[in-house]
Parts: sequence; C-alpha cells; structure tokens
Amino acid sequence: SPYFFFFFFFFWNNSFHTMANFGELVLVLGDLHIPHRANAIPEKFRRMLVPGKMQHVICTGNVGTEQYEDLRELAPNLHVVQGDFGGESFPETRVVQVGQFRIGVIHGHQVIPWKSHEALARMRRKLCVDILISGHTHKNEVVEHDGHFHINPGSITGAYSSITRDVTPSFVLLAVQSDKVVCYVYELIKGEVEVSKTEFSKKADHLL
Amino acid sequence: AQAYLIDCIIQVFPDEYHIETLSILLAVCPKLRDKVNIRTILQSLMDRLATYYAEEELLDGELDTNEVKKSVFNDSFPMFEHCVQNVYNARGPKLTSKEVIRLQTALLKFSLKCYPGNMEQVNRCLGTCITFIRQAAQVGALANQTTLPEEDGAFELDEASVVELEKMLSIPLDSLALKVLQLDHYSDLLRFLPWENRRDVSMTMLGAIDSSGDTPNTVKELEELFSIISPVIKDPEEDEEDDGMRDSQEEINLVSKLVHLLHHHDLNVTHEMLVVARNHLSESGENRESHLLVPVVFASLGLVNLIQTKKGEGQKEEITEPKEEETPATEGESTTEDAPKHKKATSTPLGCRKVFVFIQTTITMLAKSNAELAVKLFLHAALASDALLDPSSDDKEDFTQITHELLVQAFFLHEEEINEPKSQRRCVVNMVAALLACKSLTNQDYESLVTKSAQYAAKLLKKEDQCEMVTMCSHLFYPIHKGENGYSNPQRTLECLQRSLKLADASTVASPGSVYLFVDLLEHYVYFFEHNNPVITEAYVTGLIALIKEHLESYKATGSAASVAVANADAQFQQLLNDIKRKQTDSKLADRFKLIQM
Repeated sequence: SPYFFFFFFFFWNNSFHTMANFGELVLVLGDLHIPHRANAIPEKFRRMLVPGKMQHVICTGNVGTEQYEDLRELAPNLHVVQGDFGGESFPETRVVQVGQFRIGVIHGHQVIPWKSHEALARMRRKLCVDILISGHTHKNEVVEHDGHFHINPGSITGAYSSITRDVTPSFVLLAVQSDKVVCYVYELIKGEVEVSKTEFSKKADHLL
Repeated sequence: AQAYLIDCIIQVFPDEYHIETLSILLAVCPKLRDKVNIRTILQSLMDRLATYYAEEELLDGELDTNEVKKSVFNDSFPMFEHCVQNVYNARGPKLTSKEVIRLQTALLKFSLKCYPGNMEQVNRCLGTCITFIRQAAQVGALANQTTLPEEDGAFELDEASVVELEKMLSIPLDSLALKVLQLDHYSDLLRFLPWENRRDVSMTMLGAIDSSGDTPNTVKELEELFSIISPVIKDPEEDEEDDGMRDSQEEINLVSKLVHLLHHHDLNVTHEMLVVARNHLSESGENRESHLLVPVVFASLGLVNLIQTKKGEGQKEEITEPKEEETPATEGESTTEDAPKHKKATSTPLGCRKVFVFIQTTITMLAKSNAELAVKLFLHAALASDALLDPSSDDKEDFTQITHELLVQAFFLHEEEINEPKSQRRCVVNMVAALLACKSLTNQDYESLVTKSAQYAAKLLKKEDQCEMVTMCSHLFYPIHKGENGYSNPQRTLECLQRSLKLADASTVASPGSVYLFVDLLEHYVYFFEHNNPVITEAYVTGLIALIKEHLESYKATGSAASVAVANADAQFQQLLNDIKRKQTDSKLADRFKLIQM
C-alpha cells in the first residue's frame, strides 16, 4: 500500500534514536559475484545501504573480490558464510542471535536437493535455529515451514544463475524486536524498488 | 614586472571587459619576455572565461542577449589557439615538448568545459601535440645522426613531458570515456608513454567506461580498446620493478567489468566481442588468466539466456552467416549493415551450441591455472545446458549430449587435477549437487556419473568427509524429483547409508564429537522413509534412533571432552524426534510414521 511505502522510506531516513523503536535491524544479502558475474550493486539499492543504521549484516556468500570492505562498514557486525565461488576462509555455517531469535546462515549449494524446503529444514534442525537464511538460488523467498522460517535474500546484484532463469536483484531487511520480526523484501523490478513485508513472532519453541 | 602587470590586468578588470578586449590581450602575450609564464596567464584567463560562460548559461539560459558576447564565445577557442600558436612561434627553437603539451592541456580543459562534445577542438589539441613530438623526434634523429625511429614509441620522451602527456590524455576520459577512441590521435599519443604511464591512463579509461556504462559499438572499436589497455591486462614483465603501486586486484576487477559491458543488439556481434575479449585475456599470464576468463564464461552463459529469450519471442536476428570462431571478423560490422536484402532469408540466428563450444574451450584454458574453479564452471555450464531441455518445443537441438559432455569434463578434471583434501571435498559437494539437479541425462549416463561420484566420496581423505559425502550421494540413487521413467535404485541408496553408518561408527570411536554424523544419517533415513523408498523400512529408523540414544547417553555419562559437539548433536536429535512425532499425527503421514518406535 502507498501508505506503507511512504512510511517505510520515512523510517529509513530517521535518526538513530527513532530507529530504536523498530528494534535491531539486520541486513540480509548475498550472491553478489562481483566481478565474476556482475559489476556492482544496483544504484538504487546502493543509495539505501547507509552505514550506521543497522546492527547486523548477514551475507549468504559469494561476495566477490570487491565488496567485503564496504559490507564491513555498514554495521558493527558482519556475518559471512562460505559460498561456492571463493570465500574459503569463511565458515560454511553461522548462527547469529538477534533478540529472541536464533538465526542460522548457510550458502545453500551444500543442501540438497536444491530448492527443497525439506532439505533446508534438515539444516535448520542441525543448527537448531528459528530462522534459516540461505542463498544460492538467486531467488528471494520468505517461506514458513513447520512453524519456522526459511529466508532467501536472492542476489542483490541480480547475478546470473544457472538454476534460476530470470533473476531479480533483491535483498532482505529484518527488524527484530525481542520476540517479533518484521521481514522486508526489496526487489528491483523494471528499475523501481518494490517492497513487501511479512511479520512473525516467536512462541515457545516454534514461530507463529 | 611584466608577469605581475599582466596578472593585475587579468584580476582587476571584470569578465565583461575581458571579453571585449580578449583579442588585444591575446595579441600581447606572445610579445612578452621569455621568462614570463604565458601558460599560467592563459590558463587563468581561460578559467575566468570558463566560469563566466558557465554562470551566464545558468542565468540567461543562452548567450544571445549580447551579440558581442556570443561572437566572442564562439571565437574564444580559436583566439586562444591562435595565441598559443603565436607563443610557440615566438619561442622558436627553445620550445620544449613539455611546454607544448602543457599549453595544449590548458586549451583542452577550456574546450571540455565550454564546448563539451566538440570533438574537433579536442582533435586539434591532440594533433598539435603529436605533430610537435614527431618533429622533435625527427630533429633528435638528425642531431644524433641516427635513423628516424620507425615507430612512434621508439622515440623517448623526456620524463617531464611524459608526466604532462599522461595528465593530458587522462583529462578527457571523465567526460568522453569510450569516445576517445574516435579521436584521431589519442592512441598515437599513448604510444609515446612508457608502459607504466600507459597502464595508469588505461586504468582511468576503464574506470570512466565503468562509470559511464558506455560499451564499444563494434568489434573494431573493442579491438582498439584492447590494444590500448594491454598494459593493464598482462602480468608484470619480469624485469619490471614492482614499485608496489600496482594493484593487481583492481586491474582484474576493472577488466572483468568491461567484459560484462559487452552487448550488441545483434547477438552474433556480442559473441564476436566475447571471442575478441577472450583472445586478449588469455594472454594475460598465469596469475591472472583464471580471474579474467571467468567473466567471459558467465557473459557467454548470459548470452545463451538471451538467445533463448529471443527464440521465445519468435524473432529472427538479421545477421550474417555464423563466422569461424577463431577469426575475429573485423568485417562483421560492415556486412551486417550492408547485407543484401536476399541474405535476410537465408541467415541463421546464433546457436546455443556454438556458444557452448566457446564456453567449453574457455573453461579448458583456465583449467591449467585453477582446476577447482574450472570444475565448478563446467558444472555450471552443464546445468545451463540442462535447463535448455524443453520437451514441448520443436527445437531440434539436443542439449543432452552437451550437458553430459560438460559433466564428464568436470569429473575428469576432478580426477586428474584436484589433490588437496579440502578442495576435493568442495568439488565432490558441487558435483553431487549439480548431478542431482540435472534433468536431461539418459538413465545410463546418469548412472555412470552417479557411480563415479560415490567412488570419489568414498575415497576422500578424512573419515568424516567420507561419511558425509557418501550420505550426500544417497540422494543420487533415489532422486525424488525424477519421474516414472527416471533413474531409481533404492537398494544402492540404502547401501550408501549403511556404509556411512560404518564410517560414522569408526569416526565416533576416535572422536565422540562426530556423533552428529549419526543424527545427520537419521535425517536421511527418515527422509527416504517418508518418500517411500521401498527398502528403507521403519526398522532402520527405529534402530538408528535407539543407537543414537545409546551413544548420547554414554557420552553424557562419561562427560566426554567434546561436550559442546555432543550437546549440539543432542539438540539436533531432539528437533528431529519432535519432527517425527509431529508427523505421527499428520493426516497424510501418520500411517507410515506411526510404525516408528521411539
């Protein structure tokens, strides 16, 4: 809705103290593949990625050779996992605690069959997390599975993928307030930024 | 005194006065004494006027409020040019290259500011420089009684001139980017610069191209660009002193980005451009070759997608006959424009097969310097080819063979070249995952590759790796997504899991922390059980649950050293048990899952 859209951009430009009302902000992105498959993060996205607004940056891997330092400057905490093209110094999986949520991160090429939520659930159980973040498919997704959430930020550069035909550049922003999460998905469609959101909260041992 | 007085005149009087009296002032300049720095005088005049014109544009919109102003504006460049020429003449034989270049640089800046897009003026500045330099070369040769250097580059410019020339050639890049290729003397002047300076200019050019998003319009333009930027592409020469200033990664990044900018509405031309790019980049030397060829591979894979899109839209490209891959046809552009009308009927669109051959040879080239990367690229190419299979289309091209061929090459390369254990494991993960995702292989081809995968998995160095990879291979024998006639070998799936169990057992003896291997295995038994693998019965699941409980209890009791790992495995186990319990009450799965005893 237009109201929501305006509201969100207003929120984006706010000073830090008002930001606290939205809880901790976690930027989720990945599969940049710069310069192997793409030249840069799209201009309209770049303008939104302002340092000092977010507490965490989670990267699903395949950063490439250029952007690591830039990502580090965005937030005090940067969590990167190993992709399938480089980044061998990073671990394959990571678990991040934000608010009451345990968030697991893995690139996803190791989880088979690809695109299977059952397979991702296996990994989610292994890491014992509420939310599993993975990439690899270059297709953004926010899917509820067995009372938990699987999130895929897609490829922020819209890089080529041999398993997804038409890739839309995208990334995700999580606003975590203790036991609630609002998940914003940003996509670049025909040159314009479009946002959609999902909300969920944590109850006992699973999410609703 | 003269310098001071002129400076005063320039500073004191307002711009409007200067415009009226410009010709007078400029006439005086060449008559000033030698020691006066004409360049700074002219530069400050030009700067004042440039600022003034810029402001006028903003205020009035157009400069036609005053006829004098307008006529002076139109004439000012030629006036300055003329003045500069008079200065040269006045200097006579004492005139140096450095001075010539500096003055032309000032003119060039003025032109770019006040007459943006006026290529002719830029050409004149460059032309004056090169004429002077060539003359100096001639004079030098005569003086030393040597033969005239045949190539421009053989004449050595003095250091000061080199610095000035580099500055001059870098200035137009910001506003013109690729358009500098259209200038008459740009490349010629570049040749007078030594290698290092040429490299710096090339980097600036590549940066400008990246910012502007400008792309070469023809193969010929691309060839010229590549010849200009060759110092950026190649590895440092052996005798080159590494002054530490060279940033290899930045060079690789900029050149890679250039590859991604290569586009043309005629896909055949795009392909030719990639061929040209590859020809140049493959000579970059061992250290860089693998980095620089990767973008070529992905750009080509992107091209395959474009071809498919075009086919889908039912368009037929208006192109020439497909050319032999190895000859970068410079006639490519002219034939597309001049193609006689009857050729449209007989011309064929760029075929995916041709692009895949190109991709294959490119990956083979970089395999020598980075085998693991090549394995992954072969797998990606195979997946791309696999995705082209469309049973509903009447496209006669058969990509099954290409897919198989690329997979075979990946596997072969893995066997021959991948020796380091971590690298081996990474490759096996990628190979198994890619193979599972392929849909177009014949059962026979699939089976032979699947068997090989299992062998590689079993041969890995570490027991934990063997266990995990053999478990991963179990999916290959019972792929969930394959249809009725798809390959399926439920028994081999069980064999994989049983083998992994033994490996897990052996691992946990040495390190209890490896108990997670059992839990991972249980996940797989449950998965195949749920998907109705006929030989994986509830007995296996029940048995393994009991086994894991036993192990966990004994580790907890002995307060095992790897307590964190054991605790994690336990947590994972509990999650899985909860999942099974949930399925025991699920409407669709209850019947099956109730058979499991916990």
